[in-house]
Amino acid sequence: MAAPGLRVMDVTERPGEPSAIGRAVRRFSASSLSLVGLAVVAVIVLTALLGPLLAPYPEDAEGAIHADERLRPPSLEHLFGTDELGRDVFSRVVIGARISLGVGVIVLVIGVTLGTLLGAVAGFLGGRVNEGIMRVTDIVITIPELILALAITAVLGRSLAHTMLAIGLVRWPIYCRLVQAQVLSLKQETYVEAAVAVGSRPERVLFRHILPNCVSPIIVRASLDMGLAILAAAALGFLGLGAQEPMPEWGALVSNSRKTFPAAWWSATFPGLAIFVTVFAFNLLGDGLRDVLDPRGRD
Amino acid sequence: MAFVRLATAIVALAVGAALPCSEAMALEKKAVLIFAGNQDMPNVDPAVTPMSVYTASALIALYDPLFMYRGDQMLPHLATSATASADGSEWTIKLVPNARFQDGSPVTAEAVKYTFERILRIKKGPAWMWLPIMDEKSITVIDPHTLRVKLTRPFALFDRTLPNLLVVNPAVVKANDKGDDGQAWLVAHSAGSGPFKINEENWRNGAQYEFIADPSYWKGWPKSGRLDGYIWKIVRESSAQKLALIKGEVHGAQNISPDDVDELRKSTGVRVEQYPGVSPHRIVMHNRHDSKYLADINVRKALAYAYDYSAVPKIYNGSAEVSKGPVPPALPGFAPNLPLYSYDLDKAKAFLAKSPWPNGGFEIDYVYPAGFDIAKNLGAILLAGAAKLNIKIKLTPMVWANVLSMRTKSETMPQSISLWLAPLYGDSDALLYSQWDSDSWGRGNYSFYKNPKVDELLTRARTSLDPKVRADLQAQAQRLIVEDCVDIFTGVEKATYVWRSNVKGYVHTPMRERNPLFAEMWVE
Amino acid sequence: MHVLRYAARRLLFVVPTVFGVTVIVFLLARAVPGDPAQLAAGEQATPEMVEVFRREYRLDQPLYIQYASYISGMVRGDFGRSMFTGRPVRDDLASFLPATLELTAASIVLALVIGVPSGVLSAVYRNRWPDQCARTVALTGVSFPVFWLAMMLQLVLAVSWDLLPIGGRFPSQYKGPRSVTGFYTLDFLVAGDWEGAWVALRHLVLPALCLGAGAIASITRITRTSVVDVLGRDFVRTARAMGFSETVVMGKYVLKNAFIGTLTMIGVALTFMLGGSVLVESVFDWPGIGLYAFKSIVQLDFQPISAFTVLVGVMVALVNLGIDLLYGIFDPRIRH
Repeated sequence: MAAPGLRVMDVTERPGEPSAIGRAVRRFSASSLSLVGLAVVAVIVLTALLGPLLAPYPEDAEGAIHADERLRPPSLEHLFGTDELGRDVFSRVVIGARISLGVGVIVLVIGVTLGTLLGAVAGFLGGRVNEGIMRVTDIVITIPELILALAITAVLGRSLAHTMLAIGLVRWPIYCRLVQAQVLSLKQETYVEAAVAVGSRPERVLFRHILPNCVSPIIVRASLDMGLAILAAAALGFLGLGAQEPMPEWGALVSNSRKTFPAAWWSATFPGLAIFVTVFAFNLLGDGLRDVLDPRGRD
Repeated sequence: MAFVRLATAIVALAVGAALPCSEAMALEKKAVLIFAGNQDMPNVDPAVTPMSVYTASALIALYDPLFMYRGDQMLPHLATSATASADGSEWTIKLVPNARFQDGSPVTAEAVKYTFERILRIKKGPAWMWLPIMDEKSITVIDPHTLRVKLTRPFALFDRTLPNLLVVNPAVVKANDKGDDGQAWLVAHSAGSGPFKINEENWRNGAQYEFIADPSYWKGWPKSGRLDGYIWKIVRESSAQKLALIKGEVHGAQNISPDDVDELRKSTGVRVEQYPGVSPHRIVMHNRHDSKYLADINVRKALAYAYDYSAVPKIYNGSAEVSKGPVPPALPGFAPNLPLYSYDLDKAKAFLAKSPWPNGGFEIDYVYPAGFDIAKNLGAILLAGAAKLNIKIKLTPMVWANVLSMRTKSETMPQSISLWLAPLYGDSDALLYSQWDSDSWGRGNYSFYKNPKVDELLTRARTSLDPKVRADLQAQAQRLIVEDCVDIFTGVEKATYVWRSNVKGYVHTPMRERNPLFAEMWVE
Repeated sequence: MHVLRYAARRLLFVVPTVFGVTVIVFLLARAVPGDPAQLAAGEQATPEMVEVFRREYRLDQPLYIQYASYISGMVRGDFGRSMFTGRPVRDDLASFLPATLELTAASIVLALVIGVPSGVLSAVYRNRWPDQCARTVALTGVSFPVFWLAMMLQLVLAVSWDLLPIGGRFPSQYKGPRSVTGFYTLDFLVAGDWEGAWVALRHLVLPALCLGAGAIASITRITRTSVVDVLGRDFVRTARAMGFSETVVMGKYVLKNAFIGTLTMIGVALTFMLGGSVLVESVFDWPGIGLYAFKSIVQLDFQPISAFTVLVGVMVALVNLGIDLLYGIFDPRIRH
């Protein structure tokens, strides 16, 4: 077996960009778990996009109630049964996919953008600015994530938008530190010093030379974070913050079912299962990407 | 190898954890009743914690009230009588001669005076009932067992508030007074005359509270049997309460959800009791909001006719009844045969057509207390019905503190809110005056309703000592409230108790819906 | 000594961090809309009664005075009084904190007991089926929504199979232990009450498993990575070549060096647990500070909110400090 770090070159390969990607794809495909992750994520994304078209009773996610059909167990008409207001759980779970996925994406966008910006500024400018920003990240990291998100939604009010903002505000320090560390170390690279010596403007150096090298650790981190973001949103949904009725957010669906649990186990089990499968798939995908983009963390 | 040893240890632990636990660790064979409640009792000072829905049991275990509700009646307890002067402004209260505090000293009129004045001084908890009608000079002690109360305004229902007066032992309170009227000490200590004492070793906040019976209680105990004590155990989830009941880990519970009741009915060893409730739910409509939408009676009537009332008992799984008006039938003064609304979409559309918005097209905020799924679901019924009128209902959970601060002004009060109200004394007036009298604007009158005729009827009712006259006036007021379609009256939840079959002595008392009187119960 | 100076310097960093936390929390708590005095005074309260609460909790004072009295009180150990329980927050915390600490400690212990051996197994049988198995299981561990896992475990283990209790710290028929540490298991053991300790332990299993699921997973992964990394190093090969038995090699060299990574994970896990405990506590009726904090936030009870957050912030900061110090002890290269 080849020692870690050594790459086996194919004799027909030409050196350069395209085959690096080709190699990456091949390495990714070699891991069956990563492929499973990719497939499941694709299914979930598709479900999120098609949402109401796939749901047999889309009106159940928009406010319709059927008090006569409360708490029916899973059957052919209602694959996941009905909830405490007679709504079809399967439809609500399917339509809920777009909410959970959307939340994950937006949270990551907020976290990555804010974190990268502050991290780049901190690393690049160094000195007091760096100290200041790092202190702030320290403080934010010291407060437990859930409690901070709770407090923020309490101030701003309970809604999906505020939940996304709250979680994003909790996650940015991770990216900030990541980017800051990268920028700090890359600042010393010779090509950067060369660019500075030649007289390039600092912003140009930052954007053209340094940040592109941060992309791959950010992608790795973000793909692993997607799962965490979805879990955080579900936890807040479970606690009653986040998406409000009649939006069928998965965490809220589990929370609604607590009163009838465990007798009507289906209304809590399936939404929770959906969360688990989604997060698991993203974690598999993230692991696969990490193996490909950052082999040191691997074997 | 070290690893193998470690693995063996883990397996052993896992197997051990799975073995059933022997119940042979019950402490001593004593008749201790364990009751599963879902509310904490962090503070048992009767001047700070009112006899509200969740604390009454503890308070009447440690203290005695002047009058006690039992079943449908208000019976003499520490007081034998409370008689009013002709105009209802002066009352004479006579006490029983043999009542004693737990330290042996007698319960005198002096103690009652001290109790009243302490409440008026501290101005918390139950003080709201007496602050508007009494002051420091109101009470005079006539003799050790008689006192006279001179109200600052006539109030015919003064005696109805006396079941909330829990008498404290002045000597004990003063001995533990750190300049705060003993508040710090009374949080977890008792200075009462009641049948139970606090077991300080097993008074665990958030987990359980143990009460020990006092065999020398002045009123004595029922001949059929009594408890040695009881434990109020905090079990928050209904499903956990249900399981504990089935397994016999608790003897009774009162927060069982309507869906769990079904399973309990089918279980052996358990007895389900349901009674008509006294705490109605309604959807408050802000009658004056922005002078728009709900301010128009036609819009209100449209929504009242678009509400599927039959869904209410269904979502309560049979444990609730549709409201028959603003006041629940179990409360004295309830007026039958009111012109109620029903689920009739044609009528709803007809009324909406008479408003400036015949095709709907607007949004109404429905605010409900965060965490109360039933409130949300009652709003979901409105949402589904209003959607058929092209009116969008926005379900908005809110921390109740927000709502209370918003209700102080008409401009800040939300368009509609979900509201439960428990009557705090045994008369329709408890609901009517606080909710629909214009005096209560900024406080209990969430609807900001003002009808001078209703005001006049209620004032006359509050000063009529004749119950029949009072009931008639109150009935007229209720009729007007319904005709003005002030709010949507949804349903009244039944009071549900589940006991193990060997628990005896429970007498349902509507005014203490969720709080048993443990002093008269026993376990066979 | 080196370590002491290092510790002192790190401790100095903790102070401004905690200070910052208190300011943020204080402002957030005050920024929440709503009037807690009204709620505390009661639905039916007259304006007079609301004033009483407002004055007692100094809500009528300007912000900076409120903050000053809050900080000065905190330094004296007085966290103020909860508006709802009426009790001093210190008492509330004292009754609820040990429950959460016990749960957290049990979760960490469980995570180490299951995670470390799994990680070692994984590393030793690298890329063979025990490894794939352990890695996948570890991945599922971090993918569960904690509250859902709690409900599922409750459903299967406590309700359907009746193996474990459904919730609470111990059953009511039993009198609790005399309070020494606040940890029921330890208190029972101290009193020599084996049966009681066993009961308390059984009640601890499910909540600890749920809270620790993520930690089990991450500790497995990090242990695996660290061990793999160390196994490839020169000094391990030397030790093997010199004829030391596998046990010695693993125990003395590999595990000790791999432990550093595990330490970091413990720190991360602890932070998560202290915050995430509210989810597990609400499902299992565990009377801890997570639930207390959540209720305080819902009721806008400022004093407990601030006290709780500061407390947790301090604990997290101290844990991180402790871990940094342990780093220094374990790996002299890191000390500087």
